[in-house]
Amino acid sequence: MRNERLGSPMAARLQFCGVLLPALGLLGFSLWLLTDRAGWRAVANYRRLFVDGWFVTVELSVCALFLSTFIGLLLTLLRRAPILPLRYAARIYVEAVRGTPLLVQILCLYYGIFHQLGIENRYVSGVLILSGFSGAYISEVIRGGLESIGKSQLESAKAIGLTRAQTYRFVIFPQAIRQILPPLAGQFADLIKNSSLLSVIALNELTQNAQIVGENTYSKLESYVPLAFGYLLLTLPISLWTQRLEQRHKFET
Amino acid sequence: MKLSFNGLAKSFGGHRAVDGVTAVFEDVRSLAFIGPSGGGKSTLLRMVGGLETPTEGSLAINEEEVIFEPAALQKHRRAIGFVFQAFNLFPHMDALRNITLPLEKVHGLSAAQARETAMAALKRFRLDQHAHKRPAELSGGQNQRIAIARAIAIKPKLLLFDEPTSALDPEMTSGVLDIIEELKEEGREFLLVTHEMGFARNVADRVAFLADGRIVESGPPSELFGAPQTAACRDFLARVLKY
Repeated sequence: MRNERLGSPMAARLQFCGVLLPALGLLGFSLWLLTDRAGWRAVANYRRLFVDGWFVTVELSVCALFLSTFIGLLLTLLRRAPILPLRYAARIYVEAVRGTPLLVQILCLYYGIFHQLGIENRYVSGVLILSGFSGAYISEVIRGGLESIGKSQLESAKAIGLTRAQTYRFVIFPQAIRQILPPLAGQFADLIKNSSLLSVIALNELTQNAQIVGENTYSKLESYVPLAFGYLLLTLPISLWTQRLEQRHKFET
Repeated sequence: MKLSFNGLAKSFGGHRAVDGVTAVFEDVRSLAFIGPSGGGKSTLLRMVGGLETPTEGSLAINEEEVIFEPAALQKHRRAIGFVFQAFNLFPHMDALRNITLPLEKVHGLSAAQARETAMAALKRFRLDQHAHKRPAELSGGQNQRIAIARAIAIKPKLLLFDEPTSALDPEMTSGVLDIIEELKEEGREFLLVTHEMGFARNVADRVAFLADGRIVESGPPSELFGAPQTAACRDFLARVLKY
């Protein structure tokens, strides 16, 4: 249907560029109006801080990405566990995490708990807090995907004699992954963006470093525009990757 | 085959779908369950197939009681080919994979053996050119034939058909019924829930009429259709055979 309206993929790409380029031009023009050359030069002197901060953000995000996926899977399993207290515990955890702001969690956990326990490493604390937060959302995403598999599919698996594990492996997961991937990628993009809040515990990631540059140079906008692009550089590929995965897993039911 | 039901009952919530069936079918090769919707036909069939656990009573196939415990039940299901009304094929797998999956993962065939067996089954139903299509690319009749191929490929001791043509149009229905008739001629034993009275009459050597969760009447098709003994069965047949 999309092709009908736009002609061909090539035409679609041209139209996309036709929107993107003027938008970028407008953005560039307004930045040129709003900022001054001296500010950019001052900020450019601190480019090392941006690069270092960007890599710290990448490291934090990659660690938290794996850990939060693991936590998400674990919570999903707990929520389907045959033991009722485990199900309740997982449920309470998910509701508590989803019901409070990440900033509050960072402050409470870092200063209130980790600090008291003697866990001083900001990076370890940051990854743990971020993963615990994102894991709760990921478990909801996985749960939604698993529950989308129809009863007739489970019955069919039962009728041909598959074991529980085989049913998950051959029937549920391959179908659920199609439901799970788009919102999961959204979660990963959120996780990267949320890592910026870790600047409140003085973790030297991208946002914290950009703030330092802004304060040292008195050039706020010139410091924060590169910051935004730093995050886009990470989140855009994820978005494109999901679209491709969605294509590959596409089948009708 | 000998099939015995002993006070078999199944309740869903407060509703007794099967309400204490006691009956013995001896020397039966193909048994058809007929009767009004909600009469308990499918539930009875599903208990025979081990897909539903009775709330009371027991059932035995060839003097062997079906044990409704997870491990025994899984073994039981593996020896039975079940064909559903809605085909229940896996939509993310092509026709061939739908058939080889149970052969490989449940019955321990090698990938090559499974493929060979599956292709033979597909060829037999003239579906070999569709081996690499997914269910969404095939018609209902083709899907149901694939589902039957999946059920017979495992060499089941018993086939169960749960309204296999209720989701199909008349032309596709005849294709599927032809196959079931063919299976009968080669001596396969099966139970069938159907609304196709003409077919039940031709293919079954015993027919049971179920209503309100009980077997009201049963016998050879010529007797049951020719001279129904109960008012309920007479009324039902008069209604469904009216047009």
